[in-house]
Parts: sequence; C-alpha cells; structure tokens
Amino acid sequence: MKKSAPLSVAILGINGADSPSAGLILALSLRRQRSVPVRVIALVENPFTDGIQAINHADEVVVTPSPVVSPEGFIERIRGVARRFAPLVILPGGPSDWCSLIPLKRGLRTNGVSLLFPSESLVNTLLPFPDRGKLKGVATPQHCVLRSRDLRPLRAVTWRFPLRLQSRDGAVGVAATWHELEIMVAQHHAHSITPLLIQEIPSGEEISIAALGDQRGRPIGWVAARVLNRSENGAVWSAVTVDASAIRTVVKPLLDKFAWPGPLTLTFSFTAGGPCFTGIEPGFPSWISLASAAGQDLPLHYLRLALGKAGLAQTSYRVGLHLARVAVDQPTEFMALSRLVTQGDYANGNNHPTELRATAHYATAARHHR
Amino acid sequence: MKRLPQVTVAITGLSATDNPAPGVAVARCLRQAREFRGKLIGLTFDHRHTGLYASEIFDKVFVVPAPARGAESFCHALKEICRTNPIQILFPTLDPEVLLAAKAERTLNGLGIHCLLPDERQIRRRSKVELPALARRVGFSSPRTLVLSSGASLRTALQHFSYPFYLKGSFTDAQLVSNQIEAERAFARLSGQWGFPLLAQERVAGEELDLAILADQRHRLVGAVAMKKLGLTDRGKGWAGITVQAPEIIEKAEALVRTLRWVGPAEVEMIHDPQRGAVSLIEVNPRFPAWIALSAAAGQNLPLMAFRLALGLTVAPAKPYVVGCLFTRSVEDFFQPFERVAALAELEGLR
Repeated sequence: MKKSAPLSVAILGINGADSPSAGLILALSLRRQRSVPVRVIALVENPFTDGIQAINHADEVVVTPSPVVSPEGFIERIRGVARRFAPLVILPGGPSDWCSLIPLKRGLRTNGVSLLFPSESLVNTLLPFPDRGKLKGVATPQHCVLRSRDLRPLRAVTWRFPLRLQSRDGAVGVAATWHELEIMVAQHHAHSITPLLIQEIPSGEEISIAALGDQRGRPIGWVAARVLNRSENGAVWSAVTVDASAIRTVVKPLLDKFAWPGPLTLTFSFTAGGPCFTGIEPGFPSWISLASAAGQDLPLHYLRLALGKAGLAQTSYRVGLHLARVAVDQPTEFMALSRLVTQGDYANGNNHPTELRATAHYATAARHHR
Repeated sequence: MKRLPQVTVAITGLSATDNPAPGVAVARCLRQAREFRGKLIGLTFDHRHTGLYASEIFDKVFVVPAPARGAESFCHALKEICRTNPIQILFPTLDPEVLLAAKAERTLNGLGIHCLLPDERQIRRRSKVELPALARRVGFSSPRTLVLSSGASLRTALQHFSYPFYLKGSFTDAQLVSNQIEAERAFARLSGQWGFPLLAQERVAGEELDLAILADQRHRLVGAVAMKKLGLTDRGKGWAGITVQAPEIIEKAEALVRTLRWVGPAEVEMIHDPQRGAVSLIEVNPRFPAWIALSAAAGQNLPLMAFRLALGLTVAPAKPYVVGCLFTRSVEDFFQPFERVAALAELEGLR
C-alpha cells in the first residue's frame, strides 16, 4: 500500500520553559496522534529563545522575521515554506500569535497557505471582551473595557479588588490596588493602542471551553474542562474533562452568536448561582491535548477545515479524563541550535530531499527584529 | 554490561510544574539506564504533584505525610508501604525530606531501606547561615551576608547593603530587592512564610554556574557535572542549560566534600565573575538538582551511580563528562481516569 504524504502544519509559538504554550501542546498532540501523518514545522523568531525550544518538538524548525515587525518578510519566508511543503496549513499557538497573524490572512492565503481565521472586524468586535449586546442573558463579572490610560471610566463604580487585566492578545495581569492598576494600565498603553479589559475576579471553579467553528463560524465541536492546577504564571498543569450539559444552554447560544471561524477558547467561572462568563481568547487552550485524548481531536479537525474539507460531526467526548502535565528536561542537539543560528532552519531526523535550504539572511533579520 | 540487582527504589519530590522538584528527573535517569532493572516507586505528599501520574516512569505511587509532620509519621507510612511493596533504596529529593531521612536512618535501616546521605550534622553544616565560613575554608569567595534574626534587623541590613540585594529564607526562597518598599515587603513575606532567621546578601556580579556532585561513603567525589544556565524563567530558574568545563571548580568541590565529610548527592550553586576570576559559593543543596537528567545525557548518570553506592557496590570515579551537552525544559502530558486522582486525594486526607 502506498504511504500517504504527511500533512504539513506550520505552528507558531512553540514554547515550553515554565509556561507551556498552546503552540507546544499542539505540536505534541499532532505528533502523538496516529490517524493522519502530520509534519510539524515550527516557525520561530529567535534561535536562542523559541528556536531552541522547538527543536525537540518539530520535524522542521524555520526562523522567520516577526510577523508584527516585518509582515512582508514573514510572508516571503512562509511562501518558501509553502512551496516546499504544499499543502501547508498554518496554525498559530497562543492568543498573541493569532492576533499577529489575523491581519496577514489575505497575504498568507495568496501565497499558498491554508488557514481558518476569523476576520479582523470580528476580532475587534469580540476582543478583549464582547460587548453587552453579544452577552445578553449571560452573567458576567463587573468589567470595563478601557481604550486609553484614562481611568475615569472606572471611577464611576465601586470595584472589588483584586482586578484582572487582559489585553486582546491574552496578556494578563492582576492589580491588587488602584496604584498598581494605574501603573499596569499606563504600562500597557505605553506600547499598545489596543483596548484593555478590567474585570473583577469571581469566585468559583474555572471551566474552560475549547471550541472550533467551521468556515462560516458554525460550531462543529467543543470540549469543556475544569482547570485544576494553574501556577502563578497562569500555566495549566492539570485539568479534567467535565460534562458540559449543565452549561450547554449558555455555551451553544454564545458560540452561535460569536460565529467564530477556527479555534476559540471561552472561560467561565462556575458558582452556586450558575456559570459566569469571564473571557474569550482566539486559538486553542494549552490543555487542548486533553480534548484530543478524550476523543475530540479538535486540532486535527482544524487541519481538515483549513484545507477546505468538511468538518467531522461532533461526537461525544470522554468525561472525567484527567490531564497531568509533567515538566521534563530533554537533551537538545547543540548542532541543531548551531544550524538554526547560522542557517535559519533545521530539519530533524535526516536530510531528506524536501529539507529547506539555507537562508541565513532571515535568521539574522529575525534576531535584529527582537 | 552487568545488570544490577532487581530492587525497588522509592523516590520523593514529584512536583513537576513550573518549578519542578528533582524526583521525576532522578527516576528518568534510572529508568533510562540499560543496566537498571528495578522497580520505581514514587512518593509524594500532595496528590496534585503531577509527577505522580507519570505512568511510564513509576511502577507504583503512594501518598506519604508531608515532611512537616515529622520523621515518625514518614517512617510509619514507609513501614505500611513496605508490607506490600518492600523498598530497598530511598532517594529523598526535597531538602526537608533529606533531613528527615538522615534523622531516621536507623529506623529506615530497620525496615530494610537504605539511603545514600550524610548525617544530620553534616547537612546542617551547609546551611545558608554557615555557608560564608565554609566557603572561605575551601577556597571559594562568598558574598557579604548578614543574618537577620528579628524584625528590627532589617534596618541594619538596609544600612549595610546597597540596592539591589537579596533577602533569603534560611531554608529556601530568595528575592532580589531594589528599594526600601520592596525590601520591607519581601522581609514581611519571607519571615511570615519561613520564619527567622532570614539572610541579607549582596548581589554578586557574574554568571551562574551549577555543579551536580556525588560523594561516596568515604567522602570522595566520584562524579561531578558543571552546567551553565542558558535560559532563565521569571523566577530565576533555569529552563535551558549546557554542560561546561570547570576543572578548578570541581577541585574546589572535592575540598568541599572532604571538609563537610559529605556522602551522597548535592548541588553546588556558584557565581563566576570572569573579570575578577572569583567564584562565589551561593548555596549547597543536599540533593540532586532538578536538571540532573543532563548529567546522564552528558555521560555521567549520577543517580545511577548513587543507586550503585546505596546498594553497597563499588563505584569508580566517573569518566569526564561531555562538554557542550544542552538541555531544554519541556513537558509530557499524561492522561488517566479522574477516579485515580480522587483515590489518591482521599489517601492524602487519611495521611
């Protein structure tokens, strides 16, 4: 029987260290599954930071210019990758990766990259927090979306500290006092013009929903998990899938209203009074491997949808499956790092005929853009 | 290759999240060694420690009392475990558990459990409070350090040190403070969390160097691997590192082992100032470091050597390790039915 060619997926944001990213878990998850052969191509900006971490988790590592600082350079680099590994699907990892690539949607498509991204206008409508019209009938904690460093909109109401701050790209902070809040808001607006969500932190169990919408934003699958263990830096270390029937009446209408094509993460705080909607982020959550293990391989569904194939029908997932994430040190090839630095790419395994050729210029450019 | 006897090894310290304990790495070093054919038992006091669920590494796992409950309840739990799963070797990998095991050595031997540890007195001799004097004796430099034994002593520290300087708990935890407000906050937090004494210590310029070492029962250094951190987390923990050549430092470590009459594993943390050529001794931990898997990758499997020593086998000084071996910290995900987690949580409640 003829062996089928692997499906190539370029992933951004493969980071481990002390805060395993969604990008890393997507790479692990897609390489772990056996139903479809997948070639993971890690797109990294700097060989010494994300590059060194991606070496062990990808079949190919390619240094690219930053999509934010040098979008043209990024697209140019991707064009080369797409030619070599057609058909190529791109899958951003964390929220910041999504926010940096969504504006490049058209450029990526015209250069042969398959993807399933929401539109920029949809992102601007829903992030960092949907307006009240979209959340009609859904409980939310007291919140305010700040569009400048002026705190006056906040002073009109009484706030219960600590307050959670979240930018559009998922960066999160917690302010315990007004003074801290002022500093954090000023810090955010010093380097960003994007709005900032300020929100009270409700008590209750954190329920996270990993969802996937098709090309028209129709939800084709979602999995609910209770996050059991987060470290201080926000990284998820354990979670368990939960029966979503209790929140189905809230989640389904929300997903229908949001009409989000591609992966999306919603969070709720589950209190005695019922579910309270606390957040929305583009992309899969970092516990997405649990959804795959529980029988809903949403990343694989994403690849199918991005290639224009029909999404598979939603099936039930296993409730009560526990994820335990274990930090492990992995030996890393010094020569791989060396090659990444000097030549801008690295292929694991062997020097197969489709291996990318040296383009040290991009490695240098990426380093300078940091 | 001669295979080692089939014995059961218990390993503690299974927290494996953003600041992992060494237990999982020690277990992986043993599991990966071809000559090792024993069983591995994981011991932890918190069912949320994710290493507990690393089913490819541990044959069995048990919940034991937290070290704060004392040696007696620790030994009692081990005795219960030994009824069904006799343990021959114990590797405590957390500082308080090392002290606990050293205190209870005789009781543990009575249960048929052997450890490779210095005695209690030697462990106390490398405490942070004793470290400056110890450093001078073996030829290391030492950062200026002040012991703070009461609330009033912070004022003295503020007069003696220029910012930034470190405030440290005497057992663990450290914070770099850059102004008086930060110093007062850190002082309140550290004294509240760890009690007195605290230490105020000047910040030494240079690059951090870590040395994982192993001493035999005759206080001879049988293995040592030096590592330089390449990537640090926000908490100052290394997520990437590389083995480096450090013959002079290893020589000093030999003197340290002799002076302390040390037995077993340790981690020596230093700051190397290449401009002054000085190496300052910052800390000596009485256990393997969390990055110990790198020692095996570099050709010195120190946990395996420690296992052989604990069995009473002879271990020749290790061959030089490979310089330029890299590691990066990543994750592995393990999945299991939640009932298993719930059962362990229930056991934890009973302990």
